[in-house]
Amino acid sequence: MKTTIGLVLAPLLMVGCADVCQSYLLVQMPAVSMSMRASQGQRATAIGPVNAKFCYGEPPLVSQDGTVGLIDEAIAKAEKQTGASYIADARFTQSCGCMILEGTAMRLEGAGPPPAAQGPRSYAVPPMADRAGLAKTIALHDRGACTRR
Amino acid sequence: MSGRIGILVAGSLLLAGTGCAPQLHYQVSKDISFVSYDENVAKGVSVGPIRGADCTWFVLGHVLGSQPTLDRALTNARQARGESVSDAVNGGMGTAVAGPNLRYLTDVSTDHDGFNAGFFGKTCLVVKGMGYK
Repeated sequence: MKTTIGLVLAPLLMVGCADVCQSYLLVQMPAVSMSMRASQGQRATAIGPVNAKFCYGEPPLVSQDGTVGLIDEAIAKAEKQTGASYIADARFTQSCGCMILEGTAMRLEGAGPPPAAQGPRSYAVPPMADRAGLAKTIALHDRGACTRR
Repeated sequence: MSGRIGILVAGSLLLAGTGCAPQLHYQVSKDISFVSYDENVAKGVSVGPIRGADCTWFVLGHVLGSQPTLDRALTNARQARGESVSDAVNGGMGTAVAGPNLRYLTDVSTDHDGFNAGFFGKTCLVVKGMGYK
């Protein structure tokens, strides 16, 4: 009996939850950006499609004063993900407390390499003897800073 | 006894944590650097600050027409219309003559505006920014 009730209730609850979470198109714009104000005559190249989502409660990327702009954050996230200068054909959809941005990541000429193209960073480690010398230099520098203060 | 003390300590910590947590306020957009109305993203000529709004009247708690949308507020900002009223009378066609067609906006923010006089009122979604042609 319990199993039957469970089997009937579970799909009903699932349908109910799915109904609560509706998504709707908020706005569609040909181009949006958080990192540029307008192109200075540079040529733009398409990086590829982008899909970024910013939800309530997530740590904001650009808002620092306690007021969070949902669209601002979605754009900043998309630009950070792809290294884009702006997002073309941007579609903003609101769904389940999230702002979803879909569009095409575009990069302006001379805007710097995208983060993915930079590759893993490596740092040269000095040999042991040099490390001791380096530690001494840092200690001297710190002492100097304390004296100056 | 020790269980109760544990619950009390946990409750106090939870309350203290909630009190100290920074409160975040959310709005649709706060300060978008660049919003373009067409595919041309080249620098244009500034026409100064621009404001566009989409409003709805309500009487005795009943909304006349549809809720204000960002889409219409942005369209009004582009045409320097000021505001449009989405109600049963004009169907949200806008109240002023179409102005210059802007190419893009910078420093775009949204805000809510309006008033409530008890049995009737108005609610607006306002878009502000710097307009460029």
